[in-house]
Amino acid sequence: MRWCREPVLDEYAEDGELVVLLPDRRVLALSELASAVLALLAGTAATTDEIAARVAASVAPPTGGQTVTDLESLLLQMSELGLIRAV
Amino acid sequence: VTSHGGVLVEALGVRVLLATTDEALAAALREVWHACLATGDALPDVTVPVSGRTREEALEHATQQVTERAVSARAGDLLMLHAAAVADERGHAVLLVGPSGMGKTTVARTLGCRWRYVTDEACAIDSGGQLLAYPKPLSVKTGSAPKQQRSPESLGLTPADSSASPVGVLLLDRGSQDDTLDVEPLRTVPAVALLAEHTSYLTQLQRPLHRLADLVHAVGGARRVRYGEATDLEPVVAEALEASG
Repeated sequence: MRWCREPVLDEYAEDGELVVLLPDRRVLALSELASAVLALLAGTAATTDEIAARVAASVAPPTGGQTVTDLESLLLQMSELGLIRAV
Repeated sequence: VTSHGGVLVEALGVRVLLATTDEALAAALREVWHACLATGDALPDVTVPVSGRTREEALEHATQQVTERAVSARAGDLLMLHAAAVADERGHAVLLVGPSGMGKTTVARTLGCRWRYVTDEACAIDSGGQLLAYPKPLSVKTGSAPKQQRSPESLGLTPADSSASPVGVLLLDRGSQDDTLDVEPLRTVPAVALLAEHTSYLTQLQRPLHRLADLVHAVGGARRVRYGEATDLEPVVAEALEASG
């Protein structure tokens, strides 16, 4: 499955963390792993395996109880939140 | 009653006409809005008809309407936070952010006895990072609706008369009266997300999250404060003001 980002109204990143303002006015502060996923999907789509490989290289596991093996679950959660979508 | 047919006040840079032909009501409005009375002959930007079954109800309605209309008029321009604020004589201000019912008016009333009263519920920050003074009437609970509208002066407060530079942002978390003071520094990203919950018209700003982050950076980081009584906050506010040099 390939994933791409959904548009946001604004986003702010600092120290590896990201906060986004969604079109429905929700504001979400993302975990380091979710922030990394959104960062690597900027302007491009990627498969779950591609995301896993690139995130593993950029995020030191474990982060906040999450590991890269949780990635598929995380991607589904991010999709439900309207941050990314399957293409 | 002015030549415009009411009482003209200035709220967040917006000239609001509180329209009434009732001389006694106009006198009461002038008294409670004393710190915000407009000067000059410019026409009002907004007109709010003042009405109510009783004078207290009309005064409460006027306070709500002025704030709502002023905040609405400056949407997309000012960063609006649901917050009280006090400032020192140098014009350095501490914002106390929280939702309705968190006790912001009590906090403003308590801390405003020591510092200058900026506002009790609507902090507006311009693109230069300056906090606009909005020393509106305080809505004081009397046990039954409507809340009594009191001028800051009548409560012994000194209203701020000009804009101020924020040097502290405290996210209020009121516990029980027995709770001890607990101050937790927040990283920028969580602070931005928490502050965003207490804003109005956020999506109408250009790069709104950056505006919030700019505020957080300007004050050296936001802090969450759990407290029991409004007086508990006094040393935290004093520390923020003293640390600003």
